[in-house]
Amino acid sequence: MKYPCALYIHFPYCLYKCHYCDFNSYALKEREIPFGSYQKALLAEWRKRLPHFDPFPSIGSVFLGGGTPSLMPPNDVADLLGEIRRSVFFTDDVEVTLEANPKTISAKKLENFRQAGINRLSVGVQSLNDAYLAAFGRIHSADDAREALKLVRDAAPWRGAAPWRGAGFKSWNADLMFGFPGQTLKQWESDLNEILDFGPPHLSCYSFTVEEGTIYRRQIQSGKALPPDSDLQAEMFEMTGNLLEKRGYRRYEISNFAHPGHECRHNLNYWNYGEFVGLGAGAVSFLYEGTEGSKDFGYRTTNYKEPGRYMDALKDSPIWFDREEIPRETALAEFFMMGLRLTGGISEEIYRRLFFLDAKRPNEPLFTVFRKMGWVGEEGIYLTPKGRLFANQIMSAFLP
Amino acid sequence: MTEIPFERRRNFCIIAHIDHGKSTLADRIIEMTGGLSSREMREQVLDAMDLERERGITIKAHSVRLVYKAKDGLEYEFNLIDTPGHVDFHYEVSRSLSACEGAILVVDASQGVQAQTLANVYMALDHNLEILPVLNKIDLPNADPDRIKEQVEQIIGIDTSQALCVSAKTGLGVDKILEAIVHRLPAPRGSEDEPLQALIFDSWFDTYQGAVILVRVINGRMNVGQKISLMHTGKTYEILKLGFFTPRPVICETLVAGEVGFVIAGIREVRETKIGDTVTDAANPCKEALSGFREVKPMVFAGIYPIQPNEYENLKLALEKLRLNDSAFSFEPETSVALGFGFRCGFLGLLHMEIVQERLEREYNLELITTSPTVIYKVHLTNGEVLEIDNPSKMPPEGTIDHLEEPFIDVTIHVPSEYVGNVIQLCEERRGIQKKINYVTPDRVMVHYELPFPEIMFDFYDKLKSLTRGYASLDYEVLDFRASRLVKLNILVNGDPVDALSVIVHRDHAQYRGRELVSKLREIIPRQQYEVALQAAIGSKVVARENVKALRKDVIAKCYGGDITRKRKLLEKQKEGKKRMKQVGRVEIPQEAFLAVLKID
Repeated sequence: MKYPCALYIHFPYCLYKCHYCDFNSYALKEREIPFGSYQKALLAEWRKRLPHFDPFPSIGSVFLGGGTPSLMPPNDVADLLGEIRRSVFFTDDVEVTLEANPKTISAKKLENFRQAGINRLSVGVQSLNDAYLAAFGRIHSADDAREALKLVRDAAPWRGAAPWRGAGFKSWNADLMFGFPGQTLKQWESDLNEILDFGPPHLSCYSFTVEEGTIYRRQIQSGKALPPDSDLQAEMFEMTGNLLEKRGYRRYEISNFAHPGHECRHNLNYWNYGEFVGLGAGAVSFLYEGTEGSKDFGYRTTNYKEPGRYMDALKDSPIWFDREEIPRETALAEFFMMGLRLTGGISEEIYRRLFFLDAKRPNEPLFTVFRKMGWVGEEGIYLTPKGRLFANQIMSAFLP
Repeated sequence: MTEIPFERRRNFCIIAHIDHGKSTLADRIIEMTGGLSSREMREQVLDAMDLERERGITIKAHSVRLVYKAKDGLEYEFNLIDTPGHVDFHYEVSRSLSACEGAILVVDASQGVQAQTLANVYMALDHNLEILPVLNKIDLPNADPDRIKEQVEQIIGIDTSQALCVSAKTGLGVDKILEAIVHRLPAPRGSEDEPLQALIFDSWFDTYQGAVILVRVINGRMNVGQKISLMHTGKTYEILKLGFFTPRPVICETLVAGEVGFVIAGIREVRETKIGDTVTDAANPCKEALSGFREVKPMVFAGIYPIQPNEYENLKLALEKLRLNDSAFSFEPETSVALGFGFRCGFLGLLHMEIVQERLEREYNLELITTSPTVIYKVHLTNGEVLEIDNPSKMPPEGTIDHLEEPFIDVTIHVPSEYVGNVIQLCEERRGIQKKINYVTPDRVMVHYELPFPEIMFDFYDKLKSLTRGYASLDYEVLDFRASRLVKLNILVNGDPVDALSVIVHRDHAQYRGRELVSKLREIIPRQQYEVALQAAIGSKVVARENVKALRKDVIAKCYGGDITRKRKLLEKQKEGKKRMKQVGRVEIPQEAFLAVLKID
């Protein structure tokens, strides 16, 4: 495995469950969160996993997600990253991201995180409108978000297109959502413009989605909330792209924008169908099948979701996860599902490397159909702006 | 088995409303006469097919021969003849009844008599059957046998002083039924010395034997090797095998007057073995055929189409196999502009249609589109010609039509008195003609209407059920054709008429039904790449219009490493749903859209 691998670390605790959130997270009072034992469990999992790799691939990116991982004491993060770093090789340009909730950070804490090895921040702003923040159960206000954005901006000395010079954070991102029920195009535009004043090198703009099993879904079912207006979201989706591209950002993935060079390396690895190891409750790992001639392309494991069970299993059981084999044809479909999300589309080089394809490509007829519809570009394999809006229909066509 | 003399034979059936315990009682009788050991007993052994088991309805009649050692020390031969229990199978029931001398009338001791039971009891009385009333489910807390006995006497007019109270489920009192069968039901009449005269009351197809027919020998005898002829078809066969069910099949050499059994005679198709036909000796025929024979004709028609055009041949094979076993079912190839190649299928009624459709999907694993069921209409043309059409799309141009006729049915609805108003209102809305309202007891009413047959296609059963909290029961019989002001309602999708969606409706209801239909279709048809215009039109006049807005986006906002499996499954689900839709022009229409008309009232 000569290609760098990504490492994801999951912190499953938060202070309040957001109404749209379907992540594996558990709301606890801060003093009830078992920081110490959870960090120990992460390290225990790491130690259990290590011997299975020979050698462990080099790490190109680390991502601490959650839950609210910025609740973690920076010292714990330092110890965790320190031990990992001592046991495997990190690439020179390794990207180490921490997801931060605006309500949980201070200048001091950010500096401590930086010293712990974090070099990129992702701030969960979601909205700069108090009405929506409150409606969805966010623990921060719009002013908290503005405050946090200032802190992050000052801690990351990047300005405009100037390259990172090694002081402060290397890069940062703001997470935003649009298309809340009731939100107007104007409101969203003003959120976006205000965020841009903070000069984020990277922006994630997600169309508000009602997922299965969320509080919001239940509220809709009981008539207490409205579903989003998908037509208006489509309009916002297009407007977002136009506005951000005018400001020097490139939409490099369906919901992600960056100034050149600031694309999220960790997420690019997912979209390029790269290998990754996930640590923590409910974390997913995906690894290629090493054995020659195996009918499966790879396998995916999902750690036990509930933190208590995950921690217990690590103590005395050799197994702490569920395993799913990925047959080659499924892998090919997933490869398209992920790769077509990228504006640049499928990388020919990766395509050939992963699926040993020569000139003859099995899905060519399908692409011809979509090219005729104007959904797939004429050269290469990527979605046109029109195709992007109907990505599901294109992606599902490749399923076995 | 020792020979049991003529006078110790009893041929009987069980009459009951669905869920009143017919199958359970049959099971108990089979078990208690030793037909099957309890180890072999599966619940409801008479209902062979899974489908029957699930719906609790017996579709094919079967009969079992049982030997009962009575308290008088003698052995009696019982022939328990099973009958179908649904309104669609009215004629089949009548033939099964004429194979019996007696009937056990099972009435739920708390719910009392229902319309369907009534219709069958009246039929049994018409056939001079001795009725043995039994109150079932006596073990349930709300059982009220005295009240129900009184009700049975009032409604049916039979003596219930000797009615038996039983629980078929626990077996309580079933022994008394066995004794009553011996002492209160008559032995068969008829003579072994007369020329052979036997009634066909059921038949089915067996892959190895060909058609198997169930007969009741009225006069004479049947022997293996005998040449027989079927009087209505005029065809002649040689008897290859004779036998009876215990319920396991047992082969024998002869069947004599008064007996019930099966005949295998190298008959290739069940269609040659018409229910109600008379079997006689080819060389020495009886004077006349048994009375009551009727050609069974499908009354309800619908198109059945494969969703995938390449499944056409498989569908055809499946339909052929089904028809082998079901002489009431018919089909012929048909082409629809919208749906391509498929078949126009004929059924006895709506339930029969549902059963066939489910069997095709379940047993043959086919994905199908069924179009709205329709009855046969008579079209009188201005040139004096009369056409019978079983598909609205075959309707000739409006200018050439003088008038249309639709079939009428005679409907009996039995309902607790508190719901009479609702039932009457429903029948009036459905263009019914009130014939009689009969308070059989102060709280039980028999509502008698003549209704246009097509009216019960439009959500009638469900409506009736909900208007009477499930307490109404219904029975019907086809009467005649009557002139009505009917029009063809066309449904246009993006301006093009979709033949498979057109329906024939009464002119007074056309506008309303058109509006309801397009609004239902708008809910069912998912948003697509383009806006889809839905219109209902009579001739060139559009009476209703709805739009399915164009889909603007279909994309997952977030997809990272931990989401891959879940998002893939989401897309798989989406793809599956798409597979079940039919492309009509450039619009994808889901299966249920073609039956949408059934869901409007």
